[in-house]
Order: sequence, then C-alpha cells, then structure tokens
Amino acid sequence: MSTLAIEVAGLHKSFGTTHALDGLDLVVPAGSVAGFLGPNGAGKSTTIRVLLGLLKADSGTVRLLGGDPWTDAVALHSRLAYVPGDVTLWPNLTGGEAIDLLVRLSGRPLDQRRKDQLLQRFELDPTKRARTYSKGNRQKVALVAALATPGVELLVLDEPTSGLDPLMEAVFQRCVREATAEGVSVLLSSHILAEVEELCDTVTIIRQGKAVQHGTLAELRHLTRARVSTVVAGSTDALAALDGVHDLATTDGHVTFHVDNDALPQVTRALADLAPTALTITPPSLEELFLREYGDELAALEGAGTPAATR
Amino acid sequence: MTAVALAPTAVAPARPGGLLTGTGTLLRLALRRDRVRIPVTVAILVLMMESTYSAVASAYPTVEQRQALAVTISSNTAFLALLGPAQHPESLGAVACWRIGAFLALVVGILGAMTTVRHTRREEEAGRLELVGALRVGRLAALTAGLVTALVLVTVTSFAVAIPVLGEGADGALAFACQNLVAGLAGVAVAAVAVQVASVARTASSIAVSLLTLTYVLRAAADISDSVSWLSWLSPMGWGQKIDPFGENRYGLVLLGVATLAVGAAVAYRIALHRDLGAGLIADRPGPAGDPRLRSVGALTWRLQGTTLGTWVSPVAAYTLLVGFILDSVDDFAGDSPQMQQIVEQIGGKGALQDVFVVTIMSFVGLASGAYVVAALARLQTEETAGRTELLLGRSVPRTTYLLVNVAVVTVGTVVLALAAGLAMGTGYGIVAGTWGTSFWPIVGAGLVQVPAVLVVVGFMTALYGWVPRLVVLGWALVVWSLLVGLLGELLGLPSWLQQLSPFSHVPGYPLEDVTAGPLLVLTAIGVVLAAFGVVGFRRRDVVA
Ligand SMILES: Nc1ncnc2c1ncn2[C@@H]1O[C@H](COP(=O)(O)OP(=O)(O)O)[C@@H](O)[C@H]1O
Ligand SMILES: [Mg+2]
Repeated sequence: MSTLAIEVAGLHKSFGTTHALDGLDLVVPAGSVAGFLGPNGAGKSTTIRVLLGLLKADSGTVRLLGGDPWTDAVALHSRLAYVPGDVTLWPNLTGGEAIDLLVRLSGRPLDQRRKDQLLQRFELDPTKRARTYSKGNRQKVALVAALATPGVELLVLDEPTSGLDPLMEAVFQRCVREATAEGVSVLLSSHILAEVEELCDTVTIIRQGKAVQHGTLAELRHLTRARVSTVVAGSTDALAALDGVHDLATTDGHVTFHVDNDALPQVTRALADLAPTALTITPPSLEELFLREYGDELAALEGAGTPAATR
Repeated sequence: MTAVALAPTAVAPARPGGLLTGTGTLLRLALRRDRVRIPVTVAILVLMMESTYSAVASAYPTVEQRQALAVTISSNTAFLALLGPAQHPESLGAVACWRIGAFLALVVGILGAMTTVRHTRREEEAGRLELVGALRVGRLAALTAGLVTALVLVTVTSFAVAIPVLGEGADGALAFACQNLVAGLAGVAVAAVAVQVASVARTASSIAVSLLTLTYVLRAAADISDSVSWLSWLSPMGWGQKIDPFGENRYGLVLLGVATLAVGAAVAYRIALHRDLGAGLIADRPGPAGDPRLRSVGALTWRLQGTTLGTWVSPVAAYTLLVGFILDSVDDFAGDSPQMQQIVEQIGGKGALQDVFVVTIMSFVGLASGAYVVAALARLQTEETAGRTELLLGRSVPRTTYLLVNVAVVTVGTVVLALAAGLAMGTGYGIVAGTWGTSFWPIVGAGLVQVPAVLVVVGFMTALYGWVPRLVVLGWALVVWSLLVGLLGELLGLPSWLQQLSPFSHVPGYPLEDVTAGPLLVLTAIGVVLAAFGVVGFRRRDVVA
C-alpha cells in the first residue's frame, strides 16, 4: 500500500496547440489535505481530469491510490468521490434523484440517514428539479453526493465552493475536516487562498501547467515576509538600514514595511527604540506568496492598464 | 463650445431604449445561427414537392385518369381524412398540390413552431437570455427576434415549395404558397403563446405540435362528414384547403393566418411584459426526494430516452394505422388508367399494388427510425459538452458500459418503432379488410426488415461519437442522403454506387419480393462492426467537458 494518495510527475497534456500541462509534479500524502492553487487557466481542472482517467496524459507518470487512473479508472472510482468545478445536472431529475444515482454509480449502497443529514446541513431541498437550482445549489448536490458516498478514501474537489455563500462554505469546511478525521485524503483545487489556508496541510501552486511552489503551509510561509504597520515619531533611517527590511514607506508618520522571518528579532528590537504608538505585524499569508509568484504577471497587467488610467 | 469640448470625459447619458431595442442585432444572430438549417430544410421540402409533382405527372397524365382518381377518393373515408378531397382533376397542378398539400401544410406549421421555440424559450432555458437581457436590449427584443426568424423560415419555405408547380400556372403556384404560409403563420402564433405558458422548451414544443395536429384532425373530420364541415373554419389547415390552389385561388384567406399571428403575438407580448425571466404560467411541481430504481446507467438512460422514444412511436404508429385503413382500397386507386394497369401487370397483378404501398410506407418508417437514432445518439455529444458524461464516468462506470447501454437503448427503440409500425398497419388493415391471417404478419415483417439498415445508422453514429464527437451531425447527412436516394435516386440517374451508400437501398422490398438473409446479415454485421469500432475509439479518447 502506497503512502501517497496521488503521485504525479512530469505530466504533459496538450489540446491542439494549447500546452495545458507542461511537466507538472504533484503529490498528496495519504490522509492529508492538499491544496492545489492557481489562477484561472493554470491547468487545475485538466490535471484533475487526467487523475480521473477522463483525459489521457501525453507523457509523465500518474498514480492514484496506487493504481493507474487511465487503465484502472472503474476500480479506482469506487474508492473516490469527485466534485467538478462546474456542475451540470439532468434538468428533469430532482436533486435527490441525482444524488441517489451518483452514490449508487460508485458501486456503494445508499446510506439514507447520511444523505438526509447532509441535505439538512447544506439546507438543500431535494424535491426540486435540477433545472430550477441555482449554481450554488447544483454545487451542493454534487457535494452531498460526494460526501454521502460511503467508504471513500479520496475526495477530489475542483473549486468546490464556487457559488456557495459564506455560511455554506463553513459547513463545507466542517464536512471536509470530519472526512479527514476518518482518514480520507483530499485534493482541493481552488483560487480562494483563505479556504486553502484554512483546510490544507500541503499546498502546490501551479502556473501555466507547471508546479512553481510546493510544501507544507509552514514551509511556504517561511518563504515569505511578515508585513509590519506602525506609527512612530522619530526617524526610520536606522530601521531601513537593517538587513531583512524591505519596501519601507512613510506617510505622515505611518510606516509600513515587509520583514524577512529570520530578521524579526533585530527588527522588533529596533522598533522598540522608536517607541511606536501603534503596531500590527501581519503574519505571512499565502496571498503574499501567491502574489509574489504571479507578481510579474500582475505588474505586466497593471503596466498594460497604465495608459488607459492616465488618459 | 468650450463646455462641449470638456464634456467628453463625462459618461455619455444612456440613450433612451424602447421595448424593442436590440432586436436587429438579435435577429442577425439568430439568422446566422440558422444559416445552415434554413437552406437545408427548404431544399429538402422543395425536393419532396418536386418528386411528388413528377410522380403524379407520370402516373396520371390525362384528365380522365385524374377524374377517375377523384371519384375513387371521394368515396374513401380514410383518404379523405388523410388528404382531403381532390377537387380539380382537370388541373395537374391542383392534383399534385392536393397529393402533398395537407401533409406539407402540417410540416410547415410544425417547422414554424419549432423554430419559434428554439429561438425563444430554449435560449431562455439555457440561460443565454439572461446574459443578453442584461445588455442594452429591450424586454420584447428576444421574443420579437425569435418570431421574425421563424417567420422568415416559413415564408421562404412556403414560396420555395411552390417553385416545382410554377410551370402549371403562376396564380395557382402563388395560391399554393399561401396555403403553406397560412399554416406556417398559425404555427408561429401557437408557439409564441406556448413559449410564454410553459417554462420548459420541450413542453412548449409538445403543446404547439399537439395543437397543430389537432387542427389537422379538425380538417379531417370536416372532410369526412358534411354535417360538421364548418369545423374546417376553425383550422388553419382548413383555411389553407379553402385557398384552393389551381382552383378558386382565394389568396385573401391568407389574412386569416395573419390575424391568427397578430392575436398570438399580442397575447405572447402581453404575458412576456408581465412575467419573470425563466418563468412560465405553468409552475414546476416538486418531485420525489429520491428514487430507488435509479441505480444504474441503464435506468438513467431509459429515464432520459424513454420519453423521446414515445414521441417518435406515437406519430409513426398513428400514421401507419391510418395507412392500414386505406390499404384495402389501394387497388381501386389504380382505377382504369391504362398506365397504372400496365405498372400493376409489371409488378405482378392486383394484390401486388398493396404490397408496393406497404413497401413504400415502411421505407419511410425506416428513414424516420434512422432520424430517431441520429437524434438520440447525437445527444451523447450534448451530454458530454454539458459535463454530465464526466459526472457519470467520474463514478465507477466503465466507458464501454456507458456507450453500449446507450447504443442498446437506441437499438431497442429502433425495434420498437419498426414493430409498432408493422402492428399498427396490420391492425388497421385487418379491421377494414377483415382478413388477418395472410396479411398481418407480412406487414409486420415489412416493418422489421428495416431494422438491419437502421442498425447501420446506429453503428455509424456510435463510430462518429466514439472517435470524433464533434462530427455526430454527419449522421443527419446519412439520413438525408438516404431520403434523397429513396425519393429521387432513379429520377436523377445517380450512379449506382452512390445510391448504394444508403443502407436503406439494400433493404429487400418485402412482401413484394422475397426476403433473402444475405443483405440483412451484411447490414447487421456492418452496424455491429461500426459500433464496436466506436467503442474502441471511445475507450481511447479524452472525455472533454
Ligand atoms: N478541451 C479543451 N480544449 C482546448 N483547450 C483546453 C481544453 N480544456 C482546457 N483547455 C485549456 O487548458 C488550459 C488549462 O485549463 P484548466 O485546466 O481548465 O484551467 P483551471 O482549471 O486551472 O482554470 C487553459 O488554457 C484552457 O483554455
Ligand atoms: Mg478549472
């Protein structure tokens, strides 16, 4: 039995001239929750479809629960549950019927109590025809079907909370934690950083079909800087001269800067000498990391926007 | 001046918009989306008209023959119901228009209705109208664009189908165009209201098509019984008949169609102005919270395809039942025309004429069955692009099972259609003729021999879907080609290999000819091999959402 629920190495996949995946690496240790981050079009859904054996890899190795998702799709699918990013249901089936069908098609018996509980938690009316559901409600149908499937070892969730309101997002997060408590592995693709920070043990950030960062949240945080915001009376020159202080800016005595994690002891000592009247240190967030990985893209976008803005 | 020069930085005030703002743009979009559909539809109907005209011209070249025909018809209830009375035997144009008129008017009406639904309620159901409605587009623009598109289609079709009879006189041809137009306008009018009432496109289509069929039945009742002849004034099909092409040529009656459209459009606009986006007058009822029977892809496929099959079986069975009723009198139909006598002798005597009739009608049933197969299996591609196939294959469902279950359901549907046609025609004939034993089973057999040819269409569609799902529309090309070869193959003198590309050209003309197992086995084998080839492709390719 492998200790990795998902193992992808050097994965390539093209659609005609679009190189969607360009040597992607991804691992999900068994029993952990792995975040899969990237902006729109980065290749998250394509990766997941390859993992489900819906798309055939051009090259690279792909292992899922110890098997090959292309050749063993059917056997593997009875051990996992998948929630697509954009759920379309059969318009004239009710939500309840769709859930029954999807659970049974995993080769598992339907646990009516579990289904009813989940319907209640997600506040979903199962008697409505699917064509009358909003996007969020269709998403809930797929979520309930996935979470109600008994005996699942892996949840593959592609941007599962798109369309859910904050209350439902909280319910979703509780459900995922309950699943992981039972030892279920989770692959969660998302572009919502807060959700990933909240739920995930490890994070892989991808860009244009390639993994650009991978590690535990703690490891990744280490790569980034805390953000300091303070109000001081005196000169900040001494502070600016310290190693590990970046982007220092002062407006009307309000000082902001970034600081490397290992420079924090010196910086706090120097700050104390300046007798700050207000101080907040924001821990490094995934967002900072994300923005750093994509900073050049952002800059390019803003650069392109400049002429229009100054018109 | 200076004030004006500074002004452009401010946002221009929104131009006032009316209820119809944006109609032109939406209309161009709709016509562009139909740029293949409209010409193809028109071409097929013109060819059908042309083939009817030349068939009538060669079978009844003289006035005496046509008069004999008219007399025979006037005493045959089933013919009267199906086609109405043949009123002006002296005119070849009148007889040709009579032969196809009632049927063609119904087809044009249904086309008008379906096109209206496609461009209005279906767009709304798909959510595209929501996107459009948020733009600078008037509340009634989408409905208007849909209605105009349908009107363009029925008008072009109505005039185009009159071209083949233009040589018989421009007045009559124009009246024939009006006859079709009246039905087309009524079809658009009925659908305009139906799409406001029903919130689901499919329901709107059923309502419209049922109402149009009802008007056909009203006209039939009026033609059968003098005591209710006023009923035909309630029916656009009746109005069309009263226009009387190549007879009285009462063009003015087309105004009844225009009035119907005006009323239908007024009602539709009124409802449209007051209802919510996505809503209708019939609300959705809640359904079951679960279904214990829904436990396999097979169960789901039956659930999704069962209704489709029903909508194909019922008209086919109704039509073949009617044909069964008139089958007994087909021999009278030949009358004393020496040409017909000669043809009858050639094919093997009196009784053989019935067999010719059975073979012809069953070949149409075969083609209808082929169309059913294409429609049903093309849905696999729509399901895939919608992302529902992914939902199923993401569960523990083998690809082979998924595809074969769909193929199996459609194959069963094909057999059901053929069987229903045979049983209905056999029953109709048995009731009228009172003979069951010798004729019933041959008629059922004539239906069933179509099945192997339809299996080739099943295989073709499976192969297309399995390898290149984008190309499933080519299935329609195969069916249309087979229809054209069947109607016009001999007439156009097409090379035989081109004709033989149609699987239906290999169906034995049972009961006219004997059945030999050879062609049937070969057709079945081709179907099975193509389907297997399709499965191989489907197991190897990407499933793209
Ligand atoms: N079926 C397809 N045909 C062509 N291009 C595709 C197809 N599916 C995805 N792509 C392209 O591959 C890239 C990755 O898409 P996707 O995996 O959906 O991104 P994400 O899920 O991260 O937003 C995009 O550029 C997208 O346009
Ligand atoms: Mg995606």
